[in-house]
Amino acid sequence: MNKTILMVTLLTSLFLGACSSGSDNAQTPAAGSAPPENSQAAESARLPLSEQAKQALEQAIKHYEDFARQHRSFLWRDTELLIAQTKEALQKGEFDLVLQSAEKVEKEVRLMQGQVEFAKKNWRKFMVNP
Amino acid sequence: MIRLLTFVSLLLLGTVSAWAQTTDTTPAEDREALRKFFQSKFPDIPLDAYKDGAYIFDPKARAQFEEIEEFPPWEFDVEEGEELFNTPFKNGKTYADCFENGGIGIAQKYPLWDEKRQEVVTLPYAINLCREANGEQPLPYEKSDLLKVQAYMAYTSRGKRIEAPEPTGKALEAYKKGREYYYSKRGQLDMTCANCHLQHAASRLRYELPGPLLGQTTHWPVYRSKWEELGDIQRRYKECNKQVRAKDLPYQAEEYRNLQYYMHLMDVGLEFNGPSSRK
Repeated sequence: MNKTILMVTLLTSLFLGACSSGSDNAQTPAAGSAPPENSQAAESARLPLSEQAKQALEQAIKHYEDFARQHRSFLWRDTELLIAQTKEALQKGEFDLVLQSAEKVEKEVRLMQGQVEFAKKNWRKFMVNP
Repeated sequence: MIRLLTFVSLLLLGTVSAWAQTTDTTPAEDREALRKFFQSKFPDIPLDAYKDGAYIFDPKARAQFEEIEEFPPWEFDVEEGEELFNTPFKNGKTYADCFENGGIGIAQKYPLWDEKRQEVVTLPYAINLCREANGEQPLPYEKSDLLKVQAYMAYTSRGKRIEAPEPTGKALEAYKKGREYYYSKRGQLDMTCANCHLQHAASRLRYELPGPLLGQTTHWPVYRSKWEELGDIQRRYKECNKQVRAKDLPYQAEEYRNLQYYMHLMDVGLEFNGPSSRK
């Protein structure tokens, strides 16, 4: 009996594992087709540094504002401050810093998006369930 | 045969587990579960004591609180609030004309679901709606006479039990939104309200003891020593948001009103003892 239960558990785990890795594979781009971000990045890299910085900042601001319109209760306190500082850095011509900061803004927006997704699926985990 | 039975049992277990995750609970069930949680965590604390928040966990702080309440710092606000409450608007009407029972002894019913407006209405929000309906300018939600009027109305409800009908339809949706807000992670610190006020109630966060979720809506508006003035629960929401490095929302934002509605429904049956004082 114990062996049977062990076998069934093992088979279930293997099945779930296969499903999980299958879904991971589904998100991977097909071999040979470059992801669009990479081609965009390559194109952006050919631009002068000042233009790259400007574009990166504009893009980051757009992503932040799009997110803010839909999920204002998930915004972080300091992201707008970071954007303001990045704008200043752009005016001062500190283009490397602008690129770094724009990337940080993008990262924060991704993390906020992650919190939205987490909330949708997992909020009940923190609740005392009847 | 045994294998088949085992397989079917596991399948059933999975189905029941999936069903349990998708089936939603009612406010009454949530309330019951929350009370059981606190009663099993702190078996020596009676349910009614939760109206005093974190002071139930700290005898020294409680002693200070009781001393403060002998000559409460909100007393003058209540007196001024009564005067403001009875002062007629330009059209001759008063606040009493806007509320059930002339606005006396009704604070324990707020926030409530307003069927006409199809939204949650908190007491400060209702006070401003009353002003607007009578051709007056709404008052700011912080540092204004509005809090004094609210304090007076709260004072007339002291000793009454928090009450609310079980929500249905859109009211239930608002409750669920508020509940989801409470248990969602936000801010750079990636924290939910529940992290402090449920999981770590009675634990020290630096020097402070976070108040338990149960009883968090019973005593507003509050004179906080830190603020050196009266403030409403939404001022505390804004502070909490900032403390976890999230961006706070405007006063009386729909999200905050729904959150307050959820918390109010968890406190149904507890004694209302606002206004009160806190550190």
